[in-house]
Amino acid sequence: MSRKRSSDTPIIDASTSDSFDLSASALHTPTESQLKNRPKLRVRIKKFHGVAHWTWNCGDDDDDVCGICQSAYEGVAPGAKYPGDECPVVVGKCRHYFHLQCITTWISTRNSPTCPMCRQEWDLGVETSRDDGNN
Amino acid sequence: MSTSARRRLLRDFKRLQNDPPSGVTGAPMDTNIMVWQAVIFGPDDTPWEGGTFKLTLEFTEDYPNKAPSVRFLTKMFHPNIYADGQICLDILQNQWSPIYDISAILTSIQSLLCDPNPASPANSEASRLFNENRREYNRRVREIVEQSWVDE
Repeated sequence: MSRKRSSDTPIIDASTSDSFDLSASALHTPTESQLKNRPKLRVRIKKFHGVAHWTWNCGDDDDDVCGICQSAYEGVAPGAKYPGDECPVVVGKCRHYFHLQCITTWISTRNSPTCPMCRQEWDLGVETSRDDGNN
Repeated sequence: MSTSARRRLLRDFKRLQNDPPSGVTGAPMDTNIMVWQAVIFGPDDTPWEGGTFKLTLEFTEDYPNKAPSVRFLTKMFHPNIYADGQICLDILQNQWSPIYDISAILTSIQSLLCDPNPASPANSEASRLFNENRREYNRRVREIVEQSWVDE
């Protein structure tokens, strides 16, 4: 069995060592001269395509449409042109979520504002925050 | 023209096709998505069993913030259905909610068939028979069921 050895390469010899040292430092930490002599990787990025994903933070993912317009919370409600900040999702004190435009139109047809879901008095909570990426 | 009412009705239609509720069916007119024709089948194991009851639903541009006007085309005999086919049902009036869609409307009307609301009679004879002579009431209902097969 022949094995080329260079003095600066960390060696693990299974036959002579009783206890393996498989820690990252023993296996992967390059020595100084390795760092100096390593081939240089040259990459020029000509173009990249970034993709981002966002959702509203509005509870269950199961039922992810606004009950009034039946389109996704992340979609566009009637009256809004673009999704996102222009078409926010709001939550009532009763914890039911709707597009701001949808619930506003509904309430404007009522003498006393009620939640379409539970018929309790609709009391505007806060706008939900947007969850970028991680969810 | 794409308005929010039309867009919502298209979603209702898609939902009705992808997730059809049992015992009801409906579709918009070829030329006008604001007018729908629907059929409610009489629930099994009830006097209504076997009946095919046609309805028409008319929506306005205010849908879903306003209920459609719904009317039976088939002649009915029911405490809460007027002679002209108009239906006395709370969710089509003051208990309407914009989360209702066509599936919900049709299934609610279907359940009204066997579960009349005695508090709001629209057909006094049907109402009286339902309360006082259930046997005769059921016979009249079965008559209507048979008529529903030959109705135009």
